[in-house]
Amino acid sequence: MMKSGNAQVLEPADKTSTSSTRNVGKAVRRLEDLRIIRGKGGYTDDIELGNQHYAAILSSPYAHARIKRIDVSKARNLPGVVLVLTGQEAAKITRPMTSRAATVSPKSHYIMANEKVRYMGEPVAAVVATSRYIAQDAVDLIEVDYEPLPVIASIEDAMKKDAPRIYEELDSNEIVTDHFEFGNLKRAFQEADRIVKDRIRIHRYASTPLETFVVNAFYDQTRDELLAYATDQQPGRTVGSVSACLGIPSSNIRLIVPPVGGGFGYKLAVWQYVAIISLLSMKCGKPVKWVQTRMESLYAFHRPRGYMDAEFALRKDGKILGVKLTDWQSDGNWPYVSALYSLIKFANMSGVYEVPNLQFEYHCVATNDPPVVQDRGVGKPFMAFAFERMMDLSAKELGIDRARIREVNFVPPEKMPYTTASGEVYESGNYPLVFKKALEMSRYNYWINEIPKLRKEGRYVGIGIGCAIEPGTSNLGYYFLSKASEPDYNGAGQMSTVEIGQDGIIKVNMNGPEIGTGHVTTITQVVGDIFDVDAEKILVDSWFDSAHGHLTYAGTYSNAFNDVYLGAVMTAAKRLRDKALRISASYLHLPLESLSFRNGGIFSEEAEKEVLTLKQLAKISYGQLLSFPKGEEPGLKVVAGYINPTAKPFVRSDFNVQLTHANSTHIVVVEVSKDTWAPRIIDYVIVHDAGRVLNPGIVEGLAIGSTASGIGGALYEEFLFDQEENNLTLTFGDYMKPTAMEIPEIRLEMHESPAPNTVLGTKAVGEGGAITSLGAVASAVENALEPFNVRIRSLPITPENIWRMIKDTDEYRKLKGAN
Amino acid sequence: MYPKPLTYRRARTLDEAFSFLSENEDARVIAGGQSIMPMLKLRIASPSLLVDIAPIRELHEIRMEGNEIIIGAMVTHREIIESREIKSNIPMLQETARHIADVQIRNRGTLGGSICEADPSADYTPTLLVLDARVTLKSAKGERTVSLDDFLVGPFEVDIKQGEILTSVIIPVNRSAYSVVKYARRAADFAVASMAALVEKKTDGTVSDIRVAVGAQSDRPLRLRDLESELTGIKPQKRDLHLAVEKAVEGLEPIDDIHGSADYRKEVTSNILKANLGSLIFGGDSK
Ligand SMILES: Cc1cc2nc3c(=O)[nH]c(=O)nc-3n(C[C@H](O)[C@H](O)[C@H](O)COP(=O)(O)OP(=O)(O)OC[C@H]3O[C@@H](n4cnc5c(N)ncnc54)[C@H](O)[C@@H]3O)c2cc1C
Repeated sequence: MMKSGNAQVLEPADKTSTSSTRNVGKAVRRLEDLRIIRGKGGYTDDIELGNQHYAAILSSPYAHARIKRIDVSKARNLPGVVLVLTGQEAAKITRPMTSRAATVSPKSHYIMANEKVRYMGEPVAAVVATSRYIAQDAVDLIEVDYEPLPVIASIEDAMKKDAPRIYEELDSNEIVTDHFEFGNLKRAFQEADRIVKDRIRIHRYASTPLETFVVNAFYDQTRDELLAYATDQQPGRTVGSVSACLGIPSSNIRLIVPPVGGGFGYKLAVWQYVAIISLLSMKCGKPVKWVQTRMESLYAFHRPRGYMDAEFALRKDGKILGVKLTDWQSDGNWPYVSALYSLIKFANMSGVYEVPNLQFEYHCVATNDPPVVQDRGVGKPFMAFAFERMMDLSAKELGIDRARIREVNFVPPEKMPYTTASGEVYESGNYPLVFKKALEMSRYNYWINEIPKLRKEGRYVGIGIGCAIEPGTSNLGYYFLSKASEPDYNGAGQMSTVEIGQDGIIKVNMNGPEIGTGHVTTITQVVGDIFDVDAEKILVDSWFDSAHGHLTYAGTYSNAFNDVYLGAVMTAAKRLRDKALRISASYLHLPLESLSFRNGGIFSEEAEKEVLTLKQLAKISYGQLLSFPKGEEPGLKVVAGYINPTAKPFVRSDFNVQLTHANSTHIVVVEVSKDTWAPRIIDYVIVHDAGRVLNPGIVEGLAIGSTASGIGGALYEEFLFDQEENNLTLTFGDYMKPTAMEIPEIRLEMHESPAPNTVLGTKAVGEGGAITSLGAVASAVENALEPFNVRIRSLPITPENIWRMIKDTDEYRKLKGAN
Repeated sequence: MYPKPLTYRRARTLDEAFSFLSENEDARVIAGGQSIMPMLKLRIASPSLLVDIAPIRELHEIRMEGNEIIIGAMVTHREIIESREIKSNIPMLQETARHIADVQIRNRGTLGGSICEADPSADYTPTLLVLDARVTLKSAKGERTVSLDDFLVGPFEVDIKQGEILTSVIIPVNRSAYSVVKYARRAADFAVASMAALVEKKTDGTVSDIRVAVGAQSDRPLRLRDLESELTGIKPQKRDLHLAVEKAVEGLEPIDDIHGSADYRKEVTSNILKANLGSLIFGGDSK
């Protein structure tokens, strides 16, 4: 049944998509790094405009309060201050934010707080001054009278009958709820030998890019044009949102995104600040720059907390017959993204397993938690965590090994491409093989024998397993699952530009933000193969500029680069290649078929030599217009678009949320200290299948980096709030982002099942570790704590949380007595 | 970093520093800046004058005087780690410095700054209490030397007067078996629980001198004097040690915050004291 090696029978859509293989597949060193290391990254904050002014924002100290009075007179009078704008003033001249997925849209949520504040850190007023220091001094001089309101700190609080409402104009704090059923749940549960239930929780944590939000905006009143530079991951959307919010026609907005110092989804939320800073510039007529402080960046835009009630209907042998999930999520308050975390779970609701019958109900609730953003993997890490916890629990209740229960349920490779109960299409993969490799690499059987012996010596060692898929390339259409309407945008495509400059250099702009994940290098490799040229002949421009062609939701998110941006770049490159060859053939009076790009120039089969250099080609194409074939347009610049061919329309009974599906198995060995109860990772093994690997260095870096972020979520990080919803974790001394010292050595092996539906057979890779790791780490710690017979249902697994779980157990008392 | 407006002056001599400090009621000394800068940044501290004492040469000295080693206030954590005198005469202090924060902070942070900051979770103070260290303070009016135990008042509070500068720390040479343990969530964090201990035993196993201090377990680091006297002069059994530790820990009122509840800190303190005093007293590795 299983073939060895790359067992995939499916081939990539276009095997001959690059003409040479001088680059693709090699661990080419990142071209970006030398520039970054030399301080030439050229980030948004490096840009200073003429007559530059600076903004500072006053943040709310309360999580829920009415704004009774704001006195800005002292701030306005401070020398150097040119503008103070309150949220109340802003509300008069802007439109409220609208919901993306939620069926209701509050009318009272503006880019700055209007009548009341809804979370600690919400912008209340903003100042523009001649220096950032003066702006900060002025912020300190703004006096606000707040009337504190009862705080809604939890889903339970929010759902009480007489609960105060986050949005008074809505009927309830429950913003969206829905129910989906696929297959026959009733029968599955009737036929089950065993039903296993539990409630699994997820906490608040977040990616924290080194570079915070930065916006530099200038509204030119002579031309009524807005020019904004921003650290933006989804600039296509920002243009539209800022246009709607401020009433500027989108054609009059130019948004530029220099290289971004880390995206991780966090930078999908910057548009609100692009709107605020642009508004400030409109009001004062100066270019205004704002650099978010670290503390401001920790106030808001996290993953939401919540819980999932899961019920698994199982056969004795571990086979899953049906799964019921009820998801409760505290979405905080930012109607823009409410429900996205719940809806994206459809993409990996059944993970690497065959789940014939599936039921999903979700409730998205507004609270005084800070707003949420689509952080690395969005709802996928929690979905995978909950599922994998249930797999371990099911194994335990059925008395079968944790590895065995997974083997029983994997989607078999011969069923690929496989369509899940809800309609997600897994395009390729060999889950059992990836799993088997991971078991071998981690020496699973050795540890299973060794752990009981170590326990006898008083050492709490455990091994854990996590398996998950990593869906990539979002349709975004799932935004509309909750609504009746047709999606009016989609994320399954992008537009890019490729040109040969007048000097013969091949210039590429993917027309999307470069967020530090090696796009420049990868594009250089791919384009280098199409034209058969060396990297020095290729210039990848990593600025997004909305003045170039782009789609509504242009941006670097959802791990779609490898699919739709490469698709657009390659489409443009090939079109350009063909055009260049036509021009060359006509100019040289040689048959078109005999010409090709080879070794940095144009080669003739007939002449058996290079007949044009790229420089000569450019000279002809831009100047010698009369030598062109009939109807050929001059110049060597192509803007092209690309759509992944497998995106399908959204019907509630059958839809695909994402278009590629990588997968991985993580196996972790931990030891828990008896002194401090701190878990320490002894071994960490990953086998990862992200389809075809274009650059092993970059792909492995992403797999390991995303795992580090998952280890943070599993063991260290949590935003903590007191009862008044004050955020207690506003510095990196309090918010426990792990450092290089905490992240273990990770042993990684790649497996390649090419995707048949992407141009080069690639799949997503940037989120994988963040998705699979949570379950694997929890599984290992639970296993280490087996003598205490405790279950891990929530994260982070801090030493103190471990101690609280075990301190009333018999094993603990025994241990203390023995001392 | 956007502090409130302030004036910054560099003092080349102690006298110059004293005169700058007397210019301004809320002048503050800046040494390595690793504690005060974050406070300025968050606008929690906003002195109108900062007096930088880094250029004052005598504050950088490490020298022996009889059976004591005298370390200038401006000596950095890194210099403590690298000093031969410290390594051979008070290895325990060197070991302590190795666990402070991260490389960047160790390169800039100073011994005097750490002591004056008096963070109850800082690393030096338990070790220095065990070593019976004293500090020298100078001002325009004169000089005084006090024991560290008296100098430490409470959280972020020391017995220092406006205009005074801590110039040096005096530490009696000590090469006894020691144990320094720091438990923090991340390598560069302040301790959730920490301990420092020295033990001298006679050849027959009788404990002749034991000194133990804990950090992060109170509003300031503490010597556990009852525990010390219970175990001195006897050949303790494991049971004696455990009882003494449990009694000592019982009496602590640890910090209770998001990095560790009071109960949890007691649990860890009790465990690390038992394990590490155990190895010092009964053999095994002395860390
Ligand atoms: C991220 C981070 C992690 C850290 N982790 C640890 C840790 O794990 N363990 C640990 O022990 N410490 C830790 N620290 C603190 C660090 O060790 C500091 O270096 C130390 O606390 C202060 O020393 P400094 O020289 O930087 O003092 P400064 O910041 O310059 O000054 C601190 C205070 O002392 C006063 N002061 C300084 N020198 C004198 C003097 N000679 N006379 C009178 N007053 C003086 C100043 O006015 C100020 O009030 C950490 C700091 C940071 C930023």
